Formats: sequence, C-alpha cells, structure tokens
Amino acid sequence: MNEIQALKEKLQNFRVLFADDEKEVRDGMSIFLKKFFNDVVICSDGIEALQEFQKNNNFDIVITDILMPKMGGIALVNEIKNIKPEMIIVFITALRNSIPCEEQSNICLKKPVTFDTLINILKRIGDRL
Amino acid sequence: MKEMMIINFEYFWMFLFIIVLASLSFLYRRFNTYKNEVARIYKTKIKEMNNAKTLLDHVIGSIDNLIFVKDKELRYITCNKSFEEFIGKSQSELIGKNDYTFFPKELADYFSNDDKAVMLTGVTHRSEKWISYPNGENKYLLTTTSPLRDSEGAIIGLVGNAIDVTHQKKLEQELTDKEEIMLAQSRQAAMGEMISMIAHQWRQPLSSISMGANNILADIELDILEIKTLKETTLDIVKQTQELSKTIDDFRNFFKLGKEREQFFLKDIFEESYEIVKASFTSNNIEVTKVIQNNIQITTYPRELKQVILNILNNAQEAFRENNIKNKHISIFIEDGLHDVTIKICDNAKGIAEMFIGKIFEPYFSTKSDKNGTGLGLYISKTIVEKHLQGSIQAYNKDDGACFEIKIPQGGNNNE
Repeated sequence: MNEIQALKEKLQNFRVLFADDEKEVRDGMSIFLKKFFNDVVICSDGIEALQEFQKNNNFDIVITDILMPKMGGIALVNEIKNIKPEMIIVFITALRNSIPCEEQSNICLKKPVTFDTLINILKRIGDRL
Repeated sequence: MKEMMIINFEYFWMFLFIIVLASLSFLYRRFNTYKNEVARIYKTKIKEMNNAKTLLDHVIGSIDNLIFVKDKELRYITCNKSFEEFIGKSQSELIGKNDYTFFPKELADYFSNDDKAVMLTGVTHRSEKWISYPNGENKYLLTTTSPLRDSEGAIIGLVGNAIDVTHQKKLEQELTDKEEIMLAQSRQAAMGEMISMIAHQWRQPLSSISMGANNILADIELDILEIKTLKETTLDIVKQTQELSKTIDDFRNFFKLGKEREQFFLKDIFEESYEIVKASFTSNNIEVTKVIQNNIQITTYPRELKQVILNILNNAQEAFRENNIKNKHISIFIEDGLHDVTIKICDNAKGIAEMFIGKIFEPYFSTKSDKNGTGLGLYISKTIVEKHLQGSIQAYNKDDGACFEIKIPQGGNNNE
C-alpha cells in the first residue's frame, strides 16, 4: 500500500461539506473527494451549505469557494465557526487576495489546483483529525 | 436846336462812359467776391477731405486686424499699423515692394499664389496658415484677400485683411488632444474588459482540465484506474481545450482591424458580439429572448458596431449584478425600417434613475458602484454610432428595466 492509499484509509470515515457555484468545479471536485471520503455533501452556494450544516452539523471538514451568489464562502465559514469553532476550513478560490488564511489556521488553495497540492492538503487534514 | 442836340450828345457819351465804368467796377468787385468765395469753399473742401483721410487713416490704424493693399503687380500700396508690426517694417519701407523682399521664398510663393488667384478670378479668397512673426512668435492667421476695383469695376489691385486666431486654433488643438486621450482611455478600458471576459471564460475549462487530470492521477495512485473512466476524462480534457481555443478566436475576431465598410447580415454581427458574453450570461442565469429579422443586410463598420453592442450587453449584465435581480431577462429586437435598421436591447434590471437618464451618454459619467470603470463606455458608443455609423442611439426606461435603441442607416448605395 502506498502513502496515498494509506491516506485514504485514514480519511475515509470523515464527513466533508463542499460548496462551489461552478458546475464543472463541483463535478470534478466531488469525484476526487469521493475517492478519499465516504461521505461528501455537495452544495452550490453558502445558503445551501449552511442549511446542510444546520440539518446535521456532524461535519469534520468544510471545503468552500469564496465568491458565490446568495452567500459567499467567508460568511458561510463565520456562521459555521460560531457553532463549531474547531471545524477544519479549506478555501478554494480563483481570487488572489483578501482571503483570511493561515493566520486563522484556515487552509487556502488557488484554482486550478495541482495533484500534489491536493494530496498535501489531505495530509494536513489527516494530521489534524 | 442843333446846339442842344450836340450838348445832349456829349452828355450822352459822358453818361454812357460813367455807366460803363460803374458797371465794370461793380462786376469786378462781384467777381472778386465770387473768387474769394470759391477759394474759401475750396479750402473748406480740402480741409474736409484731409479730415476724412485722417479719419480713414485713424480707422484703419485702429483696426486690430492686419490690413494691406497691393497694386496689380502685387506691390504694396499701403498698410495699417498692425501689418507694419507683423512684417517688422514701416509703411514707407513697404510701398512699391513685393512679398519677395520681406518673406522667405516659400512663404512669398504662398502669398503670391493666393494673390494671383484673386487677380485672375476676381473672387475673394480665404486662407489659413501658421505664420512666423519677426519676433519669432508663431501665429495662426485667417486671411481674406479681395480684389480692389475702381468705379468702373476694373480690378486695380487687391485688399487683404488678416485676423489672428492663434488662441482659437490652440483651443481646437487642445480639444483634439483631449478627444485623443479619451479615445485611448476607452480603448484601454475596452481591452481591460476583454481581458476580464477572457479570464472569466477560461476559468471553467481550466477547472475541468485540472480536476480531470487530478482524478486520473488519484485513480492511478489508489490503484482503481478504469480504462472507461480514463477515456471519458481524457476526452473531456480535449473538449475543454477546444473551449479555450474558441475563446481566443472569438476575441481575435472581435479585434480584427477592419477600417472599411462591409456588407453583411445584421444577424451575424449581432451573434458575434453575443458569443463573447454568452457563457457569462448563462452562468449568471440571464435569460435571453431574441426577435431578429433574418434577412437584414447592412453596409457599415462591423467591428465598431460589435463594440457598441457588446458595451450595451455588458452594461446590462453589470446592472443585473448591481441591483440583485432574481429572474434576469434580456430581450433583443432587430428589425428593418424604411431607410435604417433598429437594434433594441431591453433588460429588466430596474432601469435608469430619471435624474441620470440625460447624463449616461456623457463622458466620465457612471452609475456603477465599481469605481474601476472609466465611465467612457456609453460616451464612446454614442460617438461611434453618431460619427462613424451615421446613426443614433437612445436610452429609455420601459417596464421593469431599461432599453437601448440603436438606429443605423442601411448603407449601400445611398451615402458615402
């Protein structure tokens, strides 16, 4: 078993909440995440994601885009952290600036992401959980 | 009896003599008075004439414009003070000489040609030119040269009158410069908009390509690679590269330099502009209905028309964004009129505030909250439509939004 397969073993029982307003990104990302996590919930915007979180807040990781209609990623994360401050947050966005990263222990990724970057993020998440 | 007659006869001659003498002296006195009177009148007239001449000299001297008079051989007869200052010589130095004595040959040729034309045609001639004064200053003069005629109407010379319009000319130049700057700014703004649009249109294909490839790599690492999935994903990647390429083509076509009027179907022109924003409209859920007459052909500048249409479509998109509209809708009408065609683009983005409607076509005016725009879009569009396309553009509120209506002559055989 190689390290990536070991990573999957480690992560597969955790629950992921994913939000992005672009269909292509949702499709591609959900396929990828489902290879590592058994339970992945996909949403199109902040409102939907918040509703899913309120239904059952037993998520371990939130991966979200920043610019979305109705409610953006930063507002979403603020709402979630009010309820579950220890939630692991990953921002994936095309924006280059003004993302509250690293200082607030959030992880930030810039689209389009490379395979190595994704694996590194998964490793960091694995270490934290 | 005879004695009395002789005496009467002598008295008669004496009497006659005295009468004649008296008459002569009377006549002489009258003649003198008359002569003096004539001399007096003559002197008065001379004085009046001198006064008139002095007055005329003063009038001509007071006139700011340059005034000069030349004879049939184009030699100076007289001029006014302003002209003396211009030429740097006094009137007495000028009289009898022509332009070649005072000006460089090229300039003298220029004056001479104008003068000869006036002498030949007998018609007043106007010309404008930058001219160097002896003190080194450059002034822009508007010169009117007219034939000088005698009382029989024969041309005996010419009269010239020149106005210094350097100030106005400089203002004109400043205005042209300002327009050029505005045009350059608008071109930059248009390019900026284009680049944003390209960036926007490339994001999705890039996401798809990168995630597609990442998924293949994950399958390989996790040892779950299936040939079927591999094939599907790879095909999708290739499809996405086609999308990237199409975007480049769309924008290249848009910027193709076409400075000539071409004839084409109006529908095609519209579709080419629409292609640029179609993807963005779709992803922003903007519904579009088109009512386009198929067979309308027009002869005009395609690139410029496309720029205007694109400007309006982009503005509509901005308006939707600003006003947070739920069911976004744009209607396009393209129809044929008697001599011109009409392109109408209406949205339901809440319309333009009444107090702004009169200003939206003004330069540097914008109702957008994004302060990165130049406010030049509609001004440039209006300039293009009116000056290059010989048409008209107007905006008005209708139903829940605003309509922009462009009217352009069909072109072809009629004008230009």
